[in-house]
Amino acid sequence: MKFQNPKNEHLSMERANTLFDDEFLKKLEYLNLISKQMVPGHLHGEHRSKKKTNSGIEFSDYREYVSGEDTRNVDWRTFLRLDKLLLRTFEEEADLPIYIFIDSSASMDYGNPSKFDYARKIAAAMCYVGLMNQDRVNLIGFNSGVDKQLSARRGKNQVWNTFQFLEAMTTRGSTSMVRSFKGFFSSRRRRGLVVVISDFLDPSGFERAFDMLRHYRQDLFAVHLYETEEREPKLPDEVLLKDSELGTIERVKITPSLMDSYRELFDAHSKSIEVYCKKNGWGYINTSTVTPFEDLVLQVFRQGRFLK
Amino acid sequence: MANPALVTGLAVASLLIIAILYWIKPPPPTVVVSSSILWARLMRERKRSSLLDKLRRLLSILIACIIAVFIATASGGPELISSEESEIKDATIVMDNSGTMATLTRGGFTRWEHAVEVAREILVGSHPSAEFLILDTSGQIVSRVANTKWKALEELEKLSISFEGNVQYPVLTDRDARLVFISDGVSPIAVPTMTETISVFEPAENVGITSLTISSGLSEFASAPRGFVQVTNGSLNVKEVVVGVSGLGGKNIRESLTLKPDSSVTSVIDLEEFQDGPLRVSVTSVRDAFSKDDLAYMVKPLSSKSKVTLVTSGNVYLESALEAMSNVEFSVIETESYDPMDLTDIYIFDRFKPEIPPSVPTLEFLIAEQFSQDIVSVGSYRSLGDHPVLRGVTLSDLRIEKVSSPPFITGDSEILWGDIETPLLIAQVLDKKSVQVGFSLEGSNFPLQPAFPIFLANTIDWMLESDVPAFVKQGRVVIPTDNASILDLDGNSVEANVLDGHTIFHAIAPNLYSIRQGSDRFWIPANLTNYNYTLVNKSRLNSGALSGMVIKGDDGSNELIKPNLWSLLVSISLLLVALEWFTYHRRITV
Repeated sequence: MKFQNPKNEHLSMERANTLFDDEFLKKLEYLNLISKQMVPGHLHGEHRSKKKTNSGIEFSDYREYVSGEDTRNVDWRTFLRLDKLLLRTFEEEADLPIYIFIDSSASMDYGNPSKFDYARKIAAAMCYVGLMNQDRVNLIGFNSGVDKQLSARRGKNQVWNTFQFLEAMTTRGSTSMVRSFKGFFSSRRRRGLVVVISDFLDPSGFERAFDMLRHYRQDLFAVHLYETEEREPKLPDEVLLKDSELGTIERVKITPSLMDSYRELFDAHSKSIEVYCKKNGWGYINTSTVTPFEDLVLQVFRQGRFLK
Repeated sequence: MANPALVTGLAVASLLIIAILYWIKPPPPTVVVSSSILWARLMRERKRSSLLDKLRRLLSILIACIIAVFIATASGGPELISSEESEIKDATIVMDNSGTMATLTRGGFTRWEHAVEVAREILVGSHPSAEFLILDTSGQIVSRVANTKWKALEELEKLSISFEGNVQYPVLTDRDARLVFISDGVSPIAVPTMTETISVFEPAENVGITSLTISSGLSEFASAPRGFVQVTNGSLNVKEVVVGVSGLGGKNIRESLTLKPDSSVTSVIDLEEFQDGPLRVSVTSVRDAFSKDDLAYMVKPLSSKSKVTLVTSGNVYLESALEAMSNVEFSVIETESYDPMDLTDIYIFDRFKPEIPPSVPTLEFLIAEQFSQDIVSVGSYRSLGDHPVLRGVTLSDLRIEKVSSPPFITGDSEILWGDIETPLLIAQVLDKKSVQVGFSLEGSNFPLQPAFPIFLANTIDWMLESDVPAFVKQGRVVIPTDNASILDLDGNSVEANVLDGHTIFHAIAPNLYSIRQGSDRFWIPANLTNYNYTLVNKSRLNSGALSGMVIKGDDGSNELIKPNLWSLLVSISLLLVALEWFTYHRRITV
């Protein structure tokens, strides 16, 4: 497979031992094909905007004429028949901005493969399909704030750039989704689909951050990642737990009941995110890093939020 | 409890060790987790809600301490004190350790083992402060100092069965204590009143050798030595018995006998075909419960003729009788020809008293004319003792016309027949052996009696027999040999002491002892030939009670075996160990 970089140079992607190797690229191609079958016709590239305009190709609806408006779109035939001034409205055809937020805090660098690698693969898959779908894809790495971002890209030829961006990302620092979202959306951004790929282990919680997205009227798709050992840790009787982000140490005496409680808390944490998302009509998916990433991406597609 | 101070020390030491072990417990390992947010939240909730979490360590230490204290306490052998036991009862326990206690019971244990078990139960089940005195009927324990139950248990373990025969109830100190006698009731022991007798008797089958003697064959009736084995059935049933004799040269004799209960049969063994030396006699019967009397040993004497010189003016009875003895080289000399330096083994003086007595043993028929008396029947006099000279000599028809006054009676003289005023037969063992007959042969019908040649043969046998005893009983054995080495039948060296030119050792059980001194070697059989042992059912406590299980007290109450506290403590400790294992693996404790 060959991609063309911005300098019109053909760059071979036959790279071994990297995050996005040939095997990965083959899977992306496969995912792209599958996505076409799942949502027929989406390859026209444009997503229908909810916004209704007075100009356009595809008729959408009628609405009553308001004094002062342009009369060019008044449907005179209907006026003659109904004696009512009605304007014809058309659907605005617009490309959908996709904001992919990748958690690059230190807690993501956990497990084998790490949650971060897994998150980057998911992001890469989404980017690939989005770019192939002529969507405007934004990539944002965040930890305690916006760490790194790749501004809106569109078109197949941007695949190489997005992969390069993803590969260059590293983990560090603590997690603050509030600061990150605030930092990103404080500058004017178009409404679009916000994909957050994170473990959601934010000391200040996820609610405020999600409230902020709702405030900015963004659509959210939350991909909640966890390592199996995070849910089922194998710990000795008594242990000092060191937080990889904050460096704090918690002395814990492990008992079966404590482990049960921990698992319940872990599941409750995931459930609370899911409930919040569903309440707001958002997408949510929860997965362990042992799940093949392509299965997860397909699952995302099936939910119908990413592909419209 | 064995030693409360020691047990307390042990418990304290255990607790200290546990405390130190918990103190030096290594710090927990550090594990890096992606985020401790959830853990921190969980721990905050747990700290608020769980009291057990706070007490986990304490609970763990508590369980470990209880286990340690229980085991330490159990090692001291504590007891449960019931309301009955709360009263301190001192006791004197007399153990019957006579030979019949070695009789096996149906359970495979001996009566002695049952007796020890019963005594042990009394001691263990008693109040810890009670004092006990353990005594025995064989005098193995001489101390009359009462001890704690644990010391008493130690003394009890030291006791063993004695076959020495001299059993008697021990002399007791005036002690206000419960008196317990544990016995099978077979040995004739006089038990004081107010004694609780605990029976360990159980009927048993036994056939044993009750007598074993050997004749040198000097008499006219036998040309070779003969053995006499008396076998007695001490069982309650008729028994088929096989008597076997084996000796050097590979010769074996077997004879089958049928014995009624409490009956004896004497079997004569012709020893001619056996080589000189030790012989082993055995009786075999089915289900024999007492083995100590099933074997006996004897020693066939060396086959050589003895030289006997008769000094007489003429006595046809003596000459005829001596001439008939095949193993005697007999010669007759006149009184004038007497020379004390002549080589002979025995002198027989017929109404002759030499001026110079010989250095060899003598049989003297005294001059009866010295004192006249009416004809007396033998019934007027009694036979005293069981001297070898009178063995098998029946004098029921003997009549004597004249008796002589004894020329010499010292404290060392033994009157075998007659009384102190009219001794008819005297035996002396001074620097030599001598027998004096206090009546003349002409003045009695003794030479006409069948017992006469037997008397002569016995006398010659006795005089010629070695100073070394032919048989000994269990107990102290004195050998007139200086510094001899003694081996038992298994070749084990027997400890012996030398005293005043004699070697003294203890024959603790039936055995055949080999005595060596320089190049000389001889044997001494120590047999358990005694009716009192063989008749193992002759018990005054024969009530059919199962041995060792019933204690007959004054009030007739039965005391049952009580569980020991130490075993309870150990059981609880094991349960706690299991609990600790469970709680540890369930992470309830640390």
